[in-house]
Amino acid sequence: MTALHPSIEAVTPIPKGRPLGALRDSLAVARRNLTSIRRVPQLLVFTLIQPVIFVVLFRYVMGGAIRVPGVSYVNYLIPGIFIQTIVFGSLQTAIGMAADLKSGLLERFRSLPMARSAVLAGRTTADLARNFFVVSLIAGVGFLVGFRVQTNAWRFIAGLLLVLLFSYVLSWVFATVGLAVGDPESAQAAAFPVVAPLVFASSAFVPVASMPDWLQGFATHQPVSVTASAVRALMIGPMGGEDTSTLVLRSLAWCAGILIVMVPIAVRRYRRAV
Amino acid sequence: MGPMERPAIAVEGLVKKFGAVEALKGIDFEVPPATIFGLLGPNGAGKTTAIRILATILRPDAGRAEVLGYDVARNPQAVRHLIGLAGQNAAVDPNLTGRENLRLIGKLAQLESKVTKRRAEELLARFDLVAAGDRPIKTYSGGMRRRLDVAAALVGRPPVIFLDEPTTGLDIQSRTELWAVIRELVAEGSTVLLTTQYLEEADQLADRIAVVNEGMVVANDTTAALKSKLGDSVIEVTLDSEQEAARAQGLLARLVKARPDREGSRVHLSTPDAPKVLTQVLRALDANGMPAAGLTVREPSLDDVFLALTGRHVGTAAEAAEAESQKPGRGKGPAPLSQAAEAIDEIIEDLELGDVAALDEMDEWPMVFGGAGSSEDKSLDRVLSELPYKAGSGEIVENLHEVAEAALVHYRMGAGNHIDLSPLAGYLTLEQRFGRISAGVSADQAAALLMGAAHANASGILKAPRRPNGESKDFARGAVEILLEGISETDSRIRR
Repeated sequence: MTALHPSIEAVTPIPKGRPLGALRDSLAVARRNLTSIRRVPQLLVFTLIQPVIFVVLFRYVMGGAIRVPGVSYVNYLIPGIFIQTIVFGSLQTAIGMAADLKSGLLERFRSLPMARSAVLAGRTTADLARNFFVVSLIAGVGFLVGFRVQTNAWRFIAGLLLVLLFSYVLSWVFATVGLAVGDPESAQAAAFPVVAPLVFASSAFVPVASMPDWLQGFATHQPVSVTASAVRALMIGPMGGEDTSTLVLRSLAWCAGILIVMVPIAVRRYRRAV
Repeated sequence: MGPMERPAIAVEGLVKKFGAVEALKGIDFEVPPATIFGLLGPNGAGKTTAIRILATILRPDAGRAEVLGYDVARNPQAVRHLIGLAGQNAAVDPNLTGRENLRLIGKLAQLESKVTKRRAEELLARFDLVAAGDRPIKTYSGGMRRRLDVAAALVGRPPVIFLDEPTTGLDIQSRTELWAVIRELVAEGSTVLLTTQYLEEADQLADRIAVVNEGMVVANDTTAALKSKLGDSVIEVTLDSEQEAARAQGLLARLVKARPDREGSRVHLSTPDAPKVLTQVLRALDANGMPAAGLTVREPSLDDVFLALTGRHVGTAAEAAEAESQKPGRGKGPAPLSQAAEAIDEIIEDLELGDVAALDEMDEWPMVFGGAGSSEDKSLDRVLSELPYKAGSGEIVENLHEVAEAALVHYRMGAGNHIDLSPLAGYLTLEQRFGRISAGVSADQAAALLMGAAHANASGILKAPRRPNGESKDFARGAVEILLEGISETDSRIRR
């Protein structure tokens, strides 16, 4: 054989995948997503305005008419606001993913020798960081309008961690939605009708017992409700005979179940998305 | 390529289907190392699909594709270490700065962070983006953005580079600059696979060209060989009268090494060297007191390539394939344009057939850009540079009718329908802000739009109102609708 052409020689041997390569790539993508959030602060501000409006609305406007046996309504409400905020916030994941797909950025990523999991892992990690920030601010707002932890600080923190875990699970769901829809506006339009009933037909704002019978079955067992109840139980103690650990376990089961189903679907979607 | 040398890119029997549509029907080609290979074809020919398979983004349904000996389907991760991709679909993050984008790509290309930083600086300098390096991409002009896009493909110093229609929508200057960079890359030993819709671009850059149509390679040859198959350019001079035309025919037969034919008051010359002969013709006519009343040069176009190779005009069936490959949700595509496509084709055809009589009857052409034959130096370039265009502002729309007029005047000045209208396509895409006319506008379509607009303007259909800045987007939509209306109106007028 004569010499191969120069550019073949110039190529270093194909590097083997590094053990921490996937982590490194995921963090690079996460950092990029966080930078994007920082550069478009309007998005984050709007994410925050909405829950504040809900707090004001339910605490001061409608709260007076809502009676929850055994607790003050503000203590009932704020754990629900955490859940509502992260559920609506997860639409951003769908929108961001769809925008990356539409702009062709994913096409470039897929032509790079990076870990296949990094785009999704990076996106969901960045969203987790965003939600950490959002949840901290909502906690502040909650305390400002009169919310008081009825259990203890550890349980309150456990409640916040459960909120964040649930937000992480949701970002996988909505990353998939974004990839499937492929267009930011459509992603928003497609996700909202799914999200709204999950949030409103739940224990987030009012007790399920106050709903009509036909709705109660769904409203009691759907993941948003279960998680809202679990978070509430952790923060203000169990209500209506439900045991805190049962609720938390149920919520964790939902989280695990959704992840087990959605992660492979999301990865598959990503690999086929063009 | 010596017999022992392996090709840098080898494609064999490549098939890709999207549902029932076969985007690639078994294409073959090889690209020798350190050369530029052009895939030339219309929208929907399968060029992008081929690039996507080579870039490991799509998996082929059958056949084989190798990059530097690595099979793209069996060893995609190895291939990804060897390639850089830029073009119409590979993008950069609009919220990151130029520098951040390049560093991100470097990191994801598994470079060490020291190397990544150095490469980012080198590339910013090379693409003249140092000053803009710390600005978010969304503030860049179309040309800057495209340069950064190409720079991003080069971060990892890939030996094989895929450029998918790298200059579509760029103005002439940006395009020329990009061409220079591409030539440099190859001089440094890289192999470039380039897709284009423009014969001129393939001609300027590529060592070899494969002409692709409807998912098949219909020709694969050196650029020179391909061009020689295409035949000659035709120069058509219109004179004031038949007598003068007859005189001119005799005169030109003596002066020019080309045999003129005459048809009424028009004289035709076929020549392989249009620029030189054109100069001789004009000098001769001028010296003999016979100024040309009309002048057209027709050079072989992409359509001529197809006509010569397949006996057919550029197909439209393949457009369905491309639409399919774009997958639902990937943007709406230029729907109104495709509806207007028939009308556009008609107009182009009429113009190509030299049916300028209809144009000549429209007497109100503003002469601000110079009348027919009055000033050779008023190139389209200059006309455009005189328009108060601001990148991304949408302002050009207010001047669309002027652009259209300029194009038409230029046309009548004799540059013919092959004049380079790609910058106009760029203007029309308005940094892709139109929403309805998307990046898919080809030069020919843009030309037709402009011609149509010009017609429409003359017949009073196009009343481009002047508006203050700010409402540009809605206004742009409106303007496009008026344009399309103008086209169909013109179309029916021409047919009558």
